[in-house]
Amino acid sequence: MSILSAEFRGIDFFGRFTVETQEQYVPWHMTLGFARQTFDESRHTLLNMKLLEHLGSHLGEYPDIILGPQRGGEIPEEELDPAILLARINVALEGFALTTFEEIRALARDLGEELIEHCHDYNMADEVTHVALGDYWLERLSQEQPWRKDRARAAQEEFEKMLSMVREMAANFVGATAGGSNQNGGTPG
Amino acid sequence: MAYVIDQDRCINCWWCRRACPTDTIHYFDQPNRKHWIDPEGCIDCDICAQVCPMDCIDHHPEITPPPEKLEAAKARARAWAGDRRRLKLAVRGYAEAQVLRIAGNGKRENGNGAD
Ligand code: SF4
Ligand code: SF4
Ligand SMILES: [Fe+2]
Ligand SMILES: [Fe+2]
Repeated sequence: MSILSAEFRGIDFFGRFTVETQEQYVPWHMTLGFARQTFDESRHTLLNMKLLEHLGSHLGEYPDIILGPQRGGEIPEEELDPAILLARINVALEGFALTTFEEIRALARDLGEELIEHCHDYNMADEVTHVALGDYWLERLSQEQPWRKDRARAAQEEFEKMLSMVREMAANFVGATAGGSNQNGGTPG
Repeated sequence: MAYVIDQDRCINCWWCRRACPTDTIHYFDQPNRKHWIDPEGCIDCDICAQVCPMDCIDHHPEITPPPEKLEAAKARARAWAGDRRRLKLAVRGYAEAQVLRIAGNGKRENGNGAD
């Protein structure tokens, strides 16, 4: 259910990103790339809705359970720099999602849930493309502006720490200490 | 012996960095904004090469880190492995407890309905 919620947010985020970044005069083929990603996120949403039905549930049976801070009020102007958004969402968040998908895929394989295993394999292939797309455009947009690259890198580092913290909280919730995990969000699992 | 990342093909997904048991893969301190393996902490476990979605991490037997650095890295990996095992057991225990709880609720509901 939380993955389905994330996919819904993916449509919202990348739909807006595709449209709103055009006001910042980004190259037209970047716009095309992110229009394609928005389409991918719609497919992922549909896929997860069908998987939920396959498991005997339906949309609305469970609440939206995305963890993490919710932003209220004005977002500072510099945080809307596409380079920062790419660093946080495409590179950090979607990169992190690869581990999550792999874990679900392995669990599904152990349980003999072939459909879930297959769908997460499919979904993961798209996520790799999304990370690559984000990394490429982050580099292109900031190649003449080292300060912009540094700012995006700092935003990514802060975002990674938040993701690692959420994962560690989940580990603590199930009663395991994550003391031996590495410094890079690699809580053992 | 150590593993090396082909930085031209790396997409910075940080999967190898999350998976490395010795924490020897660097990114934020790299001036070229690419992932890099510090060979002094690499114990040749092959985990990073297996998870890399771009298949851009290779084994380079000609690189030989100092033995004392390798020993320290192996100690880090042992701590990591112990913790990984504890978490796996905890997740399994939690999942089983949840299944039993849900199954228990179902039984009570059915029982109440039948009596
Ligand atoms: S081979 Fe193992 S120790 Fe070496 S960099 Fe890869 S994951 Fe880390
Ligand atoms: S897993 Fe592969 S693509 Fe991802 S950061 Fe590591 S070397 Fe780069
Ligand atoms: Fe998605
Ligand atoms: Fe995605």
